[in-house]
Amino acid sequence: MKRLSAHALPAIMLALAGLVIGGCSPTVKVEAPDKPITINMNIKIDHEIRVRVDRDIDNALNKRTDIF
Amino acid sequence: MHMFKTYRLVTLAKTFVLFLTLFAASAASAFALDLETARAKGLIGEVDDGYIAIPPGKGAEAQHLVETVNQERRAVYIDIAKKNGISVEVTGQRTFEKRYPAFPAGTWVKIKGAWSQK
Repeated sequence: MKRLSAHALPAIMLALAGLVIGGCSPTVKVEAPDKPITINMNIKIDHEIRVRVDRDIDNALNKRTDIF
Repeated sequence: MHMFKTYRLVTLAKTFVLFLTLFAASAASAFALDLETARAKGLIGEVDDGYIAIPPGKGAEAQHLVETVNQERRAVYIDIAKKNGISVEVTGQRTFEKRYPAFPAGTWVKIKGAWSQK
């Protein structure tokens, strides 16, 4: 009886672990991240262009005080 | 006698160059003054597209100035737009946005088609 339970315990634990993992895996869904990533990149690029344009405009304003 | 003549000639040339430089400088500053004066007098106003125009009820006194300044501004906007891969229109609008806070009170501005004084 004692020997049997000593063998049975790891087996039960393994089975339980298998159940837990098995039970979890279907709920772990990988959402398609295309959309948010694309938006973030656009915002980043947009921001970089804005910063560059603003800097260029400032330079032009300082240089061309005759027409601004 | 000969040396005196040469000296006078050189001085004359120098004076001529000096006058030319002064004339060019004054012409440039007179132009800058014109835009500023025209703006202060209300003869021209700033439009939200980045160009200038004559406010309603004002004479065509500054018409030439408007054309000259707008032409040169457009060249500047084209440069910046090309460099950054954006449109010339957006560049002009952004320039107006950036400059607006610096306009003195009373400056004529045309925003979304409507004229008003800041």
